[in-house]
Amino acid sequence: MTTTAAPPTLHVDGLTMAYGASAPVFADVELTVAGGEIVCIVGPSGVGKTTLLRCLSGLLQPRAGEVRLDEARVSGPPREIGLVFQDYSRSLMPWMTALDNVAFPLQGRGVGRSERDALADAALAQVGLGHAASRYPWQLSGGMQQRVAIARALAYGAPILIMDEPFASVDAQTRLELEDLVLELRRTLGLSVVIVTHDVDEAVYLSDRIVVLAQSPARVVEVLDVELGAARDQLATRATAEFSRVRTAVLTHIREGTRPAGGS
Amino acid sequence: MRRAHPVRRVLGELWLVALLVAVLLVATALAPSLYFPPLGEVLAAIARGFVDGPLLGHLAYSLGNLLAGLAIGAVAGVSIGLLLGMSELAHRVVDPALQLLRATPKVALIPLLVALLGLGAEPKIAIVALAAVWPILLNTVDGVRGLEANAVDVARAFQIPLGLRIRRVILPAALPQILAGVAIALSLGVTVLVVSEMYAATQGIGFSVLQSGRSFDIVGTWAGTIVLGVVGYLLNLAMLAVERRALHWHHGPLDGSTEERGARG
Repeated sequence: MTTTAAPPTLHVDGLTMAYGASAPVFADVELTVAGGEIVCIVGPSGVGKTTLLRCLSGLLQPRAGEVRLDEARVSGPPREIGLVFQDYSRSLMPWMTALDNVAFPLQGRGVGRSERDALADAALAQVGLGHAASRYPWQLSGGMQQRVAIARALAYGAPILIMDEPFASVDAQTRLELEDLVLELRRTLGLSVVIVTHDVDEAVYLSDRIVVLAQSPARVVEVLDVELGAARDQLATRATAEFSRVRTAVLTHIREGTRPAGGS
Repeated sequence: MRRAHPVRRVLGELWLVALLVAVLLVATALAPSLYFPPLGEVLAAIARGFVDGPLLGHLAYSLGNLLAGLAIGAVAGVSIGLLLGMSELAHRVVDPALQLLRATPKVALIPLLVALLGLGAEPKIAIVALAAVWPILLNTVDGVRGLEANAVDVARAFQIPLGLRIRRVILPAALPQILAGVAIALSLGVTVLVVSEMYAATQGIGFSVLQSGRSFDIVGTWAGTIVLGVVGYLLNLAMLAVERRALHWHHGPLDGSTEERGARG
């Protein structure tokens, strides 16, 4: 079994990012993700969601503000965060089997061969790919490749998953399955999950909280609690009044947040 | 795509060669000339040369020097290529000099190398290495610089240490281009090797071709030439086999046999 420590709380304070001398991509972003929470960041495309995630995961240094895990300031990619990238087809190494892809970060930590293979096997089983360990990425469908990427983050032992548009390029049915996989992993492993998505329905279905980014430079225009409980069902949950209430609220905020920028 | 029977595949690829050999066999036998001796005689000379003549020794000597030179060129090319591919600064500083050196015909260095290193194997190995290093080096640089930003992010996000990153991310990603460089280096290497053996040597296939030519042993000259052609062809085949094996993950997606291979699980 993958052993996962209780997730630290992810604090984001006054985070501002700009490239060179150009105008900030986002400014003064505030965000807190407690252990075991699923938080979705939504906003119109091009608003800087991916840049924000790269700052959260330590891949980019912000211009101002800070990201903390409990009290520890994040200055580079931390051990506690497992990243799942949008472009699964290029985030897996095509020359490694599914097992080797999942075990690779453990090899980087100096875990011995048999132990890391066992951990990788367990992680693959957790995402329902126990039978596909010896396949190469090109032998797997898009949804399966994304499951491998999730297993890689799990095997790494990171209690916080950060996912960038993780299901944007899989078909609708696969997408629902992967959403439920995320919910299940949170339930069984107690993970915290931060997901960037432009799909409002997906955000409402998955989240405990939704953070709406809008305007330019982007800021947090609204934080919405989603009162749907922990157990969710693709059909029943989406048919509830709470689901449509939150959905309408998110869409309204995105629309209002986009308008003053003068865009179409 | 369905794979044809191996015998049919070989026939499909070699029928023209077989036809040419047959025509030459007949034509040279019917109309013997001083410069185009009967092909049968040449083939017999090759067989004799391999069984109890000097041909096998010459060939072994040449191949040994070729492989040694290629190995040195490959190690140097890949190491320097990695360094230049990974460091933008180093690449900017060194690139103009590289382009100049690359453009210099390597055969022009043979007299100098012979003067420096003598008539033995060393100058041959050196010239092959000097010719081989460039395509390998430049292709390695391209391959390393072409690394997907995603792969870099993954390596950073999961804190993969540098050595492991080179071994399991950067080199495999660059491998298709490195091997393409080696294939070019191989044919360049054969060329400069033969030239160097003709310039100043006491052994080797190139030497045997030159020597038999000088002593009007035209059959022997043809024998050596044909051996060189066949060896070049076989080396190329070997190179393709190595590529296919090392890049099975790379060729896989192009073969269009996903289901069949996938079912192996």
